[in-house]
Amino acid sequence: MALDLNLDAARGIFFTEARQLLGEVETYVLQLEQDPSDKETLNAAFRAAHTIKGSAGVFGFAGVTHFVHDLETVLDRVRNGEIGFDGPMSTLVLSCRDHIATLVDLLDAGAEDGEVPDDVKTVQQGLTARLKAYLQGNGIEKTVAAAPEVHAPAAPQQAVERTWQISVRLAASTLCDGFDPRPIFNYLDTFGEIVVLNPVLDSIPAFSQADPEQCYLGFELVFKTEKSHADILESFEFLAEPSKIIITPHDCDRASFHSLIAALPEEKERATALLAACGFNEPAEKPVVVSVAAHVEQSAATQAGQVLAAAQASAAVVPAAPAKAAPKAKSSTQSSAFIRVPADKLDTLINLVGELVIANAGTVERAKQLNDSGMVESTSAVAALIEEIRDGALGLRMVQIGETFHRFQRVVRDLSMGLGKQIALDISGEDTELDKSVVERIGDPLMHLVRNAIDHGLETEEERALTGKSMVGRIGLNAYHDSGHIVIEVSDDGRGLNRDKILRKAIEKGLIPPDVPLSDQEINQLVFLPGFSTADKVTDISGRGVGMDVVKRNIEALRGTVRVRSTIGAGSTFEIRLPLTLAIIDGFLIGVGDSHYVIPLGFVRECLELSATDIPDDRVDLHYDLRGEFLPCVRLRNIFGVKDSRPKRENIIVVSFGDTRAGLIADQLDGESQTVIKPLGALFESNRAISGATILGSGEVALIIDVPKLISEVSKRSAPVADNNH
Amino acid sequence: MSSEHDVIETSLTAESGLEPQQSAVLEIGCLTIAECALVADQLRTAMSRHAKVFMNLAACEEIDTAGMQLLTIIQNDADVAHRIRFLAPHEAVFAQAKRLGLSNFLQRGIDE
Repeated sequence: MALDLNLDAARGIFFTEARQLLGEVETYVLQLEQDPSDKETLNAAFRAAHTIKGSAGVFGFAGVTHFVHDLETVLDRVRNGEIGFDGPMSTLVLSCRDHIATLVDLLDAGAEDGEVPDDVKTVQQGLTARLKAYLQGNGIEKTVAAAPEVHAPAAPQQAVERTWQISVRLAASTLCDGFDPRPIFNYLDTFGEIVVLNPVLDSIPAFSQADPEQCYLGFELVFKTEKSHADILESFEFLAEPSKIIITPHDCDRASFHSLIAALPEEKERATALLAACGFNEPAEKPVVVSVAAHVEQSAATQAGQVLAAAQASAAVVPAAPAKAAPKAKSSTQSSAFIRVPADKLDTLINLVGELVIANAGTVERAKQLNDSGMVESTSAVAALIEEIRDGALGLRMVQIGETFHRFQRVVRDLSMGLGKQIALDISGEDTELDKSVVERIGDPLMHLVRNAIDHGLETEEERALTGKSMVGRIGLNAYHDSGHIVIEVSDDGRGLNRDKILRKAIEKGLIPPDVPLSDQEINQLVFLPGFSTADKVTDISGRGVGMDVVKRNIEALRGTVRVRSTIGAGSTFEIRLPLTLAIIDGFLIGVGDSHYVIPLGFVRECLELSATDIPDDRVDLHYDLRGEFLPCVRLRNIFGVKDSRPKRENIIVVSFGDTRAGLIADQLDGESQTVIKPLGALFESNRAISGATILGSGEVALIIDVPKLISEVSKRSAPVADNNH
Repeated sequence: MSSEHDVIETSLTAESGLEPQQSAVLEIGCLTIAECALVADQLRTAMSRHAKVFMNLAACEEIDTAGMQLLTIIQNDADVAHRIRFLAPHEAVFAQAKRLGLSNFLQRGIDE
């Protein structure tokens, strides 16, 4: 049972990693489209495909293994310079990537290996045929013949060719795990020459005893190259433990030679004979006098001889490699610096930290009531630590938006081809972090905005040429932090929103009354009304008018907002503002009547005390003269229906959202408070002033004020002057 | 790619010059890790019934290291090498053997 559970967990990891690797394959292929000569990227794509194949093999997903094998073989031939990487190849590899993703999804959903629906099977047959077309002909011979043409470029410093002994003893599971040494030999040919290749068949059993899926092979190679030990070792990185790879220079010293003999699994005499067959014999004793350089060399040789490198152990050797290998070393270090944690464990941690925040607030409250200064000090220290734990815990769930952004490269590419528009995608702010739960839910709205921008925002090439624009339309994805929020912008340099047309359509459809004056911003926002579309024709991509309202609804469900800036002829920018997290925030506690409310601290700019005469009346369109600036205000006691008399002195909290500011008038200010957000039931959905609730240290429930909605309401009443950009 | 379609057991008379009950031929269309176990079983079965078994590799356009290893295992076993022979290997088989340094084993098993 435990084994089953472990296997299930391991399979889960396979599915996660496979999807991650498939994402990488997509990214690499899109990069290769821009620069087909980028060998590093090509190698990375090959490695990703190879890893998927190997992992699938480990779990017995033969369907995936076989399909990826063909893809990998094609990529290997591209890597060896036999096939060029062109548009059709790119499309084929991306289609194969999509198909592998489908197979992985099916397996993850519980399908048996090889059990695929007919339509998926048909797709696979088509793709396999296309892959085979690349593999037909005398491919393997060609591989060997063509390989030297793609020798790695000469190292910046004059490198010296050395002769290396590569001893390979493959693990029994190598073949059934989906690994194959042949592509490795092909790869070695790209940066050196295999002078001798002798198979080692000492482990091969009698035919009657043999399990053909087990690997019994070993190899002794003599390899000449200018590359380093680490570069050679890197070629074998796919081979899993307990495969043994020992790389020793022929010009090593006696000790290294003996270390190699001792490390080989064969008896000493046999091992010596195997090496001798390669022309690698025991070196003569070297003179005792050793220069510093020679000493370094000797150390490297000893190290090489001693290292029984199961492939993954290469990281320890890589630092000795020249500059080119450095990024790999960094990558190895980085990968070991991360651990994979199930998201639900983080969710549980965040929930517990939330409870801790609430419980501690009660302790602080109690300490204050007891008027015990020592106790107050202690609880304050605990509160400060909890705040750090809270930030740390929330930070664990923060992920960069870059991965989400980069997924759109493929979308842009495919739509670009489908619509016959040349489109470039500009990504910036990809390092911007936000809560994982927000990232997961922002993908669909972003997708809709990007598709809409491509289909409707960008003009056709002819239209762009007529208006003197570059033929290449640009779509931008940008993210940045602003006042405790993340702002995501989807922009295009297309035709911009035609406000006259929007207004006309909205009136035609009865979405707005015909004679209401609207600001430019309000007209722009009409595109988010349900059923609104100005598209003259409906396409597969957009134009049905059933999307922008859903986009807005989804974003609002994340406590965010979306607005449009647009200049006709120059393009549009959709600006999405989202809270950084949906769990715990810093709040500002205020009192209105007998109740407490929380304003998310990120919105608060400043607080001022009001005398009874500053804003004496209860009119709807209140305003305040803030150092000569018009500030629309709302008295919260009116919003929340507090009937008792106003205090002599009220307070005004100046809040801002984007470039709009407003004043919220409250009875009292209670200071900052850590706020664990608790969702409100459906009963409160229609309340435009409240976005959630929290529990105070006293046990009292405080409602969280929905500042964006409130500002929007206030601004509507005084639209012409509420905008700071006036 | 299904193994059932790639490996077909038929009797051989004219080519081998042996009586039908003395020999058999396996038509090998593909010899990768996916087929190796089945081919090995078929070879063992054929060996139990026939004095000599021919692996016709003329149509074997796809062979991987596992396939090449199987051919090597056969030729490395002195008791089996003379009973299982290879016929007209496809150039892909030669190429794979060369790549893995196993050309000698392939050549050793070929009946011209």
